[in-house]
Amino acid sequence: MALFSTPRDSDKSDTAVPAYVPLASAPSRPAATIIAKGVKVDGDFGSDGDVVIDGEVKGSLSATGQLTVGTEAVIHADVKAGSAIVSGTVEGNLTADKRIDLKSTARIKGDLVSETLSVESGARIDGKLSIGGKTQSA
Amino acid sequence: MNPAYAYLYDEFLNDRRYEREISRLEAELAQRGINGRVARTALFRHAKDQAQDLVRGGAKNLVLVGDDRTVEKLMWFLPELDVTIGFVPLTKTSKIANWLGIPIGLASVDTIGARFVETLDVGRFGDRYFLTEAILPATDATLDVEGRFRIQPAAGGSIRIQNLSSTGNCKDGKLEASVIVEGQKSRWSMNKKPIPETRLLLTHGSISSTQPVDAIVDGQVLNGFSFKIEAVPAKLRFITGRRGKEGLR
Repeated sequence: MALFSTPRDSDKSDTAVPAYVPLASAPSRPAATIIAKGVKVDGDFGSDGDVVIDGEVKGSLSATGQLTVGTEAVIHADVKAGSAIVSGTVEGNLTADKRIDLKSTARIKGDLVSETLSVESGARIDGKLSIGGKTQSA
Repeated sequence: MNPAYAYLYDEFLNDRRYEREISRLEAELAQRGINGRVARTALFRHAKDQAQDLVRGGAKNLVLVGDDRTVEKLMWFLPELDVTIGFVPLTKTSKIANWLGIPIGLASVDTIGARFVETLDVGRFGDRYFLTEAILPATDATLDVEGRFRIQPAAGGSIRIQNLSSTGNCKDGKLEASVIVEGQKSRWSMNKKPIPETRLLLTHGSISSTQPVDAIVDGQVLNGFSFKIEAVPAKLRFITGRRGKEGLR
């Protein structure tokens, strides 16, 4: 039986048969969890994989992969991530296993802990920096 | 007549314009030896009682004949029955049939006859089961996710909980929650700039609100202040047209 067969003559007489949908290729979930602009999260938010924050988060935030904080995002929480790219506001301590990138619009009020840190001109930090050396996993 | 099969026809099929198609359907079923008892839903007959009666009569396969609304309006109780569900969509289009690989019209009889059965997750919203989705449009309700955190859209936003859908996987023991916020109008265009949906997975949670909210669950409107939500894994046996690579060996 062909996987993607053309319609047989017996099919044409009635209604069209929809395309074959292989069971093995069930639709996959989105790669990153997105908290969009206009959405508020309150509590212990954690996710396996990458997380993109464009809204507001209060409580605690953890991501095993890359955390991206958008320009208009506001986080009132301690944050743990594999790595972080920050363009918005974080009021809390930020710990990343590998790397933290602060963009020019980043506003951090808390301590930063990571192996590597890069800071664009314009970014603001009000807290302690602990950069280099091994960090504990998130 | 095959006692293992029973057919529940939606009320709209009583219209004369479906007579010929129904006759052809029943002839096809008889030819394959899978014709069975028939019941028709009606305004004053309780569909759940009819379905239970068919199952008590020995039906192992309960085939719903109609359209997506037929499946949706019966889904609130179907997972409770110890029976395999089939679907014959006598309609021009059917999202449920498309997602489950079931052909439209009489071609679906082949699917019923082949009887490839998948065990699907269902969702539970309040005291009702649902197969496709539950939506709270334009709400200020809060979605509690597994007791860990709460999520709320900005004013005018919507919350959608999905099980079976074009993007969803209804066999992973989870529901997909989306929070949809209305886009912002662009200075340069009358069209609103779309905002990406907030999407996450949950096994259970709840909806709560200080004001009564309307929830549309598989097309049925529920109203209340709070609802429990949960994914019920592997609850519904359904005859589908989908085949994995395993089925071709």
